[in-house]
Amino acid sequence: MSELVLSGVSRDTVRELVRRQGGPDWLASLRLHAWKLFEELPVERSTMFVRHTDFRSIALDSIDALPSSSTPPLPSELVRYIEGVEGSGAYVQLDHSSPRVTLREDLGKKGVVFADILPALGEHTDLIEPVLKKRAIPPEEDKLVALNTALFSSGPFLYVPSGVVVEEPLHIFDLRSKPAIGVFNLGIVVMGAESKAVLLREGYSDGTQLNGRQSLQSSVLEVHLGEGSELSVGDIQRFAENVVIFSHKRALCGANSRLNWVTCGLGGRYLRSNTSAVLRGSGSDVQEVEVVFGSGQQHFDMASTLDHLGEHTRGDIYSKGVFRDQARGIFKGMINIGKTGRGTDSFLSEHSMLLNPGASADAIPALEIATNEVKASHSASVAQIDDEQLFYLTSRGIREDEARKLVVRGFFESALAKVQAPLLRQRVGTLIEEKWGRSIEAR
Amino acid sequence: MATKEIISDDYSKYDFREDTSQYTHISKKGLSESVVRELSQMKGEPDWMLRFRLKALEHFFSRAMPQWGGNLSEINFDEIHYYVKPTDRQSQSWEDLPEGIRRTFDRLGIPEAEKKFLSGVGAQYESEVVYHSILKELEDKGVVFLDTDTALKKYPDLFKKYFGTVIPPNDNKFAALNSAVWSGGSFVYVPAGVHVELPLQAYFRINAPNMGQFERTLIIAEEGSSVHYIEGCTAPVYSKDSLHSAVVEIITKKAAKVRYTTIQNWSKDVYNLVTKRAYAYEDATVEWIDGNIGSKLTMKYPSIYLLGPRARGEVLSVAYAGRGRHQDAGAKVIHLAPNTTSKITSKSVSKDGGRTSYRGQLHVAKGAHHVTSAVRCDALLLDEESRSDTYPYVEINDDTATISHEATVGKIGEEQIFYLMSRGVKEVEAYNMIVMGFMEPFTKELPMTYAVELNRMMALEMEGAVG
Repeated sequence: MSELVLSGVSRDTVRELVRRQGGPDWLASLRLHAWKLFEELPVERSTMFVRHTDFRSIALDSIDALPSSSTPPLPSELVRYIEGVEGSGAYVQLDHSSPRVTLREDLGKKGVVFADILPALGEHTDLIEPVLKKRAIPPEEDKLVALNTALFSSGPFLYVPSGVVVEEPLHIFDLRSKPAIGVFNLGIVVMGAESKAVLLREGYSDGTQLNGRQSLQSSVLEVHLGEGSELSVGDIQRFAENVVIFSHKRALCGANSRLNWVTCGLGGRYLRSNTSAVLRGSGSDVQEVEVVFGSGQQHFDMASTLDHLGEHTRGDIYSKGVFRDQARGIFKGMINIGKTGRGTDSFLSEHSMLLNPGASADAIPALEIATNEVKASHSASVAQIDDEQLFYLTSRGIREDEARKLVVRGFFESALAKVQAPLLRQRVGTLIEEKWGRSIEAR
Repeated sequence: MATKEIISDDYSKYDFREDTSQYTHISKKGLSESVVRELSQMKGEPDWMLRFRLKALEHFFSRAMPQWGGNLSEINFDEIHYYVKPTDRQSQSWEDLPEGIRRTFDRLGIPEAEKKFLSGVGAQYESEVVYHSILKELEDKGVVFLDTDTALKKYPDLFKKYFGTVIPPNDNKFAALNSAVWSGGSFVYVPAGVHVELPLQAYFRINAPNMGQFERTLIIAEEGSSVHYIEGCTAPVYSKDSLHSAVVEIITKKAAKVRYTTIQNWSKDVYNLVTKRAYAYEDATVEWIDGNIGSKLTMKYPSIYLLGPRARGEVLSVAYAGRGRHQDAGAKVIHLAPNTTSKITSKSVSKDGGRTSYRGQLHVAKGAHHVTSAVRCDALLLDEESRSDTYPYVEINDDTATISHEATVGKIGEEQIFYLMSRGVKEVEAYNMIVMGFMEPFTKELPMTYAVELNRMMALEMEGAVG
């Protein structure tokens, strides 16, 4: 049920990567150590979730996991899309080629760094080496993070110095045009005290890849929030249905920092998403939003964790999923309030809607509370589309398809309202409508 | 803020022990095939039961300990007496019992309760049921209420038809253990259309140290019948661990109703690892009212399989964990038929470093259309050291299901206390009122005498520094 089949990748692949990339010795040994962990660790370490881990839809045969050093031209469709987005900078990676990274000049002058992680390691060793050596998500913790650590060859590095505010969003584009490849991406964000930024990531396939052999997108993103810093992170997955996505995100939150974590699952064959935040600084605040719309044979495995360790921290996990056709979804939530988490106020909410027979949804909203000066609660629900709402709309002359779309849109509305960055909120809304249109046409 | 004594952990009422030197038989410590054979032989069982036990024993040995739930690593299976027979005879009159046993049940108030409000009573002491009785009029209607060993002898066919069908021996490690060394428990058979008006009660007492009690209960409610079964359990406090691992199987036929109430108050050295499961057929109703107050560690998740259309299941789980106790309790409801409904309510209170965990599963199978279910879990933490966990699993494979789950964890609100105090209620009394109010959904489901008992058990102490 939960074996990961990953042919075409071995210890030799890791050695070959080390040979091609050069780099410091400690990184080479870290990769080999991580590969060993990958081989040893079970897919799911938590006994809570073992029974709900199902990798049967994954078939990663003979994937090409090594990066190519070329930078091929982008397909015109992608160029048009990217050019339409204004921003402070962009990290654009096509398949496993070298990423192109741009940053507005004035931000560079203020000390902001936005770059591909490995080339940046030489120039900003003092910033990057410590976080690579002492990881926010240690590879010991998760088989898929170990795999990523062994094989990562690219990833965005963002550094915003103390007091600097990056007004316009920074964009990350993971673009896919080839089947049967593995892209291993390790991103790191370091926010200085009182700094601010918005980071929007989007995974996207060009239109030719709908039926190709499966490929893998492995992403790890580690975020370090300095005291009083503010960050919005949007992570939109809308790859074609031949892409398997393993995504881990973790934030370490300093005192009074604020984070708006948004994960939107629309594409891919299988998305295993693991989002966590460690609220160790007093007064830190994390608002997490998950929006998932599954169709066809898609499978969304969404895990979210908040660790409340500091005093008077606030947390909110708000997950909404709509599943149609044979799509499956699971929301696994965990609010963990440690002994030191006095004054925590945290809420976990997981709500799913099933649109037709064949779709299914699971929810595991867990709480572990070790002190009493707290407020913690959760709610979960699974239901079909509300007949009364449908009736109300159709009785007012709205076509049934349109009415269903409106009800679904309404269902997601409360989640969208929690997305703070206006551009991100608008983008997620647009993409849901777009997917609705496409999945109606496909019927 | 000074600590407040809110719930009393006074166990002295139950903490008394009787001499064990006159016992008929105490199996030597540890578990082996010979212990099982000896037990089966002493009971004069048919061969199929011996084979059933031995097969279960294999399962038990081959199966790993659960890696979830509470800490089971300190259980030493080699230090336990698996079969302890206190007396040779079972009695239908309290007077005929050996003095120590009679005194025990007198002190626990069982004979008195029997007179007042019960249809029948079974009393188990160590491994054996020592007392059993049922109202004559029920017996005349064909109701069977016997200890499980006697039922095997008296109703071999009925017994064999249902025994082990709801919880097979390989269901889990502790069900396997019970299947290998089970002794005692109740066998209840209610014929079609018969309503047992007053509850049947079983009381389980462990007296000896290092004792393993493995009762086995089987309840069959035929079409259109109804019955309410109540169990209570206590033990003296030793510094050595005892193990209580029961299996309870319930079969609720068409339009029948079974309510099963437990007030578990084991002493703080008892591991309470119990498997309870009920089948509910068409239009049947099953209710588990499960109160866990005692034990060192309880792992118990009463479950209901809703097998027929319109069957209904309800679980009310209440847990209180004081110092050194972990209540890992909860409920499972598996919806396998259309238009079935369920409701799970969990209330827990942790105090003095105690830990309560709610672990639940709500499953709706594909094709079980128009299921509705509501789950509600509330936890109160009375101080900084205590802990509360909630692990609910909601698995929905049918798009017509309507499922909701809600949980809150918190402390008693200062404003609630302030409100009550501003109306002249003393602070400690205010805490008392709020905790009792929190528990009220449970206490109101209990027969009056039990409710009084429970309130007493959890009574506030008025002394202690306040403010």
